[in-house]
Amino acid sequence: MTENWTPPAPPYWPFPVIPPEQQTAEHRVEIDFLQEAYTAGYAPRGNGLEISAGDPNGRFAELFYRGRERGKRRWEVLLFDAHRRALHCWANDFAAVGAAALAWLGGDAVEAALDALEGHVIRGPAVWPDEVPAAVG
Amino acid sequence: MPAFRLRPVEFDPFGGTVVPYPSFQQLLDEPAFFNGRYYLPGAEWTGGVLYPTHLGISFAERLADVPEFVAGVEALAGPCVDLVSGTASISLPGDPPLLGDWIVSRQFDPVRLARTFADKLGGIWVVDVRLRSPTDPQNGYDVAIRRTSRSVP
Repeated sequence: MTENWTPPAPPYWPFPVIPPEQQTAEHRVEIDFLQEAYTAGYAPRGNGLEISAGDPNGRFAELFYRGRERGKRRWEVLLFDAHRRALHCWANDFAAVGAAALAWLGGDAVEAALDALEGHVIRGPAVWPDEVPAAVG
Repeated sequence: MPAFRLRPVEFDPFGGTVVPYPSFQQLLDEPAFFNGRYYLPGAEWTGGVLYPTHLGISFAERLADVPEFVAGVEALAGPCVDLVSGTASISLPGDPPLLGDWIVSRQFDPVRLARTFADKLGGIWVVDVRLRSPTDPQNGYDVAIRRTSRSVP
């Protein structure tokens, strides 16, 4: 195996999408997420296989499309802050996935993201606790 | 259905509405349709974006299907695919292993996969694997499968 290839980064939103009359409900919920994240200043980007967004303080969300299971689309969800991975799971509803990402990027605790995903987590979740710095002195 | 079913004006082999976007050629959807035609019936993992330079795919559990998927893309979309790339994740505890797990455990055989690509698509192929985050192996790998030559020596 070699390590000499750099994957292309997905483009930033906004970019053209199919006309509204051709959009499905799933299209719209993804587009709504991108627009909402963009309006909030999270610089979302995506290409249909992966969607990501981050806030200026280092919080970051990565959402990977992982095909279908029993007919439902699957998304792998990874939430980070500047120091750690906070949440990893797979979920089967992009509305919930997007809500979790927006809650996290908006400064909520990881529990709020899990609340947004309730009923839609199909793998995991794995949660990493926030490390509290040891008291000094 | 993904939000980015995009095709440039000059590339529309099957008709339908075209939305130009410079970085994409086409999005392939799952599970069994490709632009309205049957494709890999029964496969539930497939999904990809055909860029001018490469095919991005969604790695999930069925790595063995990737060469056939790429061959299908070539057959249906026209242009040769010389580069296939995607993100290989590490599975969550208790879940089925994914490509990232096989890379970590060294069960993933890149030579065998490259040979399968060669058998299915012709030419010479190599597999590139790189950690997504050098500081956190749990973030998985960027994987690229490249055709380095169209001819076989």
